[in-house]
Amino acid sequence: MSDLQNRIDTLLKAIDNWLSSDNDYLMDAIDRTVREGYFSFPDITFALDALRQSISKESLEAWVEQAGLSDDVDAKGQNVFCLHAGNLPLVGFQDAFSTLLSGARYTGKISRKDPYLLPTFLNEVKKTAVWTDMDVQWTHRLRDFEDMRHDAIIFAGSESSVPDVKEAIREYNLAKEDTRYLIRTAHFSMAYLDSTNQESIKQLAEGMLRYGGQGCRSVAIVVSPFGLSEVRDELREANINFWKENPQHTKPGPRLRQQYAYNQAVERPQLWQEHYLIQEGGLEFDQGFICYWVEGDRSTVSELADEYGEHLQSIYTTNANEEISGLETKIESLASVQKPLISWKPDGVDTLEWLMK
Amino acid sequence: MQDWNKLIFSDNCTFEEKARQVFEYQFENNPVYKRYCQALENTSSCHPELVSGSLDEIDLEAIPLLPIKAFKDAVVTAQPNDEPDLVFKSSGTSDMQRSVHRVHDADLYKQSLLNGFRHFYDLDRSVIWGYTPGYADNPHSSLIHMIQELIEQDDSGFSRFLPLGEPLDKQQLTEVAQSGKQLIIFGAAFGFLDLLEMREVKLPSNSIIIETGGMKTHRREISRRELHRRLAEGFGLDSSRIHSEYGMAELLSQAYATGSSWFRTVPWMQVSIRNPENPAEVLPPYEEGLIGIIDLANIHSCPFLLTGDKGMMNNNGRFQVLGRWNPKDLRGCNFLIEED
Repeated sequence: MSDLQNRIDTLLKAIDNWLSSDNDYLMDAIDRTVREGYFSFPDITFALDALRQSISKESLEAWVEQAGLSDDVDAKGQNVFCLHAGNLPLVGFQDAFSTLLSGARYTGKISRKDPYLLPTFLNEVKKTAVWTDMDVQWTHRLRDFEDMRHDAIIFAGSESSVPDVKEAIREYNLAKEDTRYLIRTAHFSMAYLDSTNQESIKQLAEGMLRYGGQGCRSVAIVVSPFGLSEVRDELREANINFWKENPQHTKPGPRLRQQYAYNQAVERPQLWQEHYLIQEGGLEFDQGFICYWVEGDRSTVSELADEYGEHLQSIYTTNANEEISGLETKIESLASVQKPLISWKPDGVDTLEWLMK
Repeated sequence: MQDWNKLIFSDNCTFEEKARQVFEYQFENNPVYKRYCQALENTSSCHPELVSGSLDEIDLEAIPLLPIKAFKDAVVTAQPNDEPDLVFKSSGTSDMQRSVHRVHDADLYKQSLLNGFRHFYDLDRSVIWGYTPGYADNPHSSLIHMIQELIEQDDSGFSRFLPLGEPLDKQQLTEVAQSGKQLIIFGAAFGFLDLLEMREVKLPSNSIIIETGGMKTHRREISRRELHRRLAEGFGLDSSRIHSEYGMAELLSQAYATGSSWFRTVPWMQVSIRNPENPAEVLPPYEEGLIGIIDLANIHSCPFLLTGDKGMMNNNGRFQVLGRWNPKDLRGCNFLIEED
């Protein structure tokens, strides 16, 4: 058996063990995560289900082929450092998984905002014969890895946060002179809603509200030929139904109420539901828990994609075969917002392919 | 009918009492502000008495501050059926959404800017020069209007707008110095830097430079401290002679920093620093937040405003302007050293 096939099979087995209902370590991690208030139980189980559905022998082999990974072309011998954000449960999973799949050694800085879940998977990996303690290491404190210099570093950042992260990497001597960086900067996604059937509205509610809308895949802008007032009632109902199953874990502060009052003042159409606000126009992105509704067509989608550039992660459409010129690489189905393929490309970059460069 | 000019500039009435009357007038007559107050009440984050539009107890901090962007998104006026005397617009390109401030009482504005200036400077013994590149293309500039009004107060003939793109004229400087008046040059920060690049000229030692902000341009961005250092050095003045004005198209009153980085307001204007996450909360001294303003001269538009500027108050009620408030990235994956 080739090394690559061995890694695939071993990772699949590790995933099976990890997601098994009798894995007490994972159950305990979920319990602690919920009890200590990091995430809600429905959001965690949803994230785990999404991984379960996306990882299979077929999906991994397809990914490996698409990325060009083989025994001859892999990332063996490289030390890869992943600094995981903690805005959603297991948000860094794909980075850790692709590092292991690539053959590289994984070092992880686990987020203090999601401290328990990912380590339970990494522990499963370490139980296998393929990866040793030296190959898979993680900590919750950056300084624990002082003087461990890495070949590649992956993290998500922004104009304001990247300098601080790079400074910390310098301070703890975690990079070499030629270390490669994969810094992701997309922060939100957009949906093009040209159908108001019940299923599309339900998918939109999930796309906006799951994880409180805090993910870069979460829908923060809706472009639609329909005005907000035309779909307000259906959307309100769909949101309520979503929250019945998935009560919103993080509540917005008083500032969101102020925005609602402001919209009332300037007579801007909006849908206010106490913990979440959908408003027509006024795109500012200066606070969370708001989705902006823009009446328009495909050309509006293109204009907004141009305007928000690297900050925009994905564009979701109700029709999976939708074509919007120039945006082919960003378009995904609205049904897949919170359940991406394991091989999805954050910021348009295939992590596995990048690791092999 | 209430004589607002008399009330606002009166010395016989406390600021709180004036604010109470102005609030009631606003609530009654300004539809945008009324809807704002009512919507806040509906969400229980506003005092009930505010929704009735009647304040028995005076609590300035409880008066809702309308986000200043309302001047871009709506017609903000307490006289919706009347034509304004003046219209001010914020600077910006034609495809940008600009703030529009309808001024319904030009006399009140004139009184505010002149009384305000006299509160800090001896206008009658001053020569006013204005150097305002970047504003000349905006016929609705409140800054140009204000400087024009100040210039018109001087009958010596020395006060004027300086021609753009030309260095200061030494002969004219000499003439002003010989007149015995104090030279005050008003202008945008980057304009002064342009003047110095053309020619460094030493001003009479009692001159005052008042910069009106604009530290960030297509060419450069510098701190206020650095700007003042360069202006003092370039114009040969003591650093205490470099002053700042804080004003905007949406306000009919101004604050001035006269020789330090701390601004003072005129008596009919009050500043507070608000928690950006909860604008109803006033922050203690030396904490950074959003600058909130009550400008009673805005009686006919909206006097209760929350700006988008970052500021900080000291123990004496003076404040610093620290640039625009830039919210953190609140969406998406973002590894933060402090939190992750």
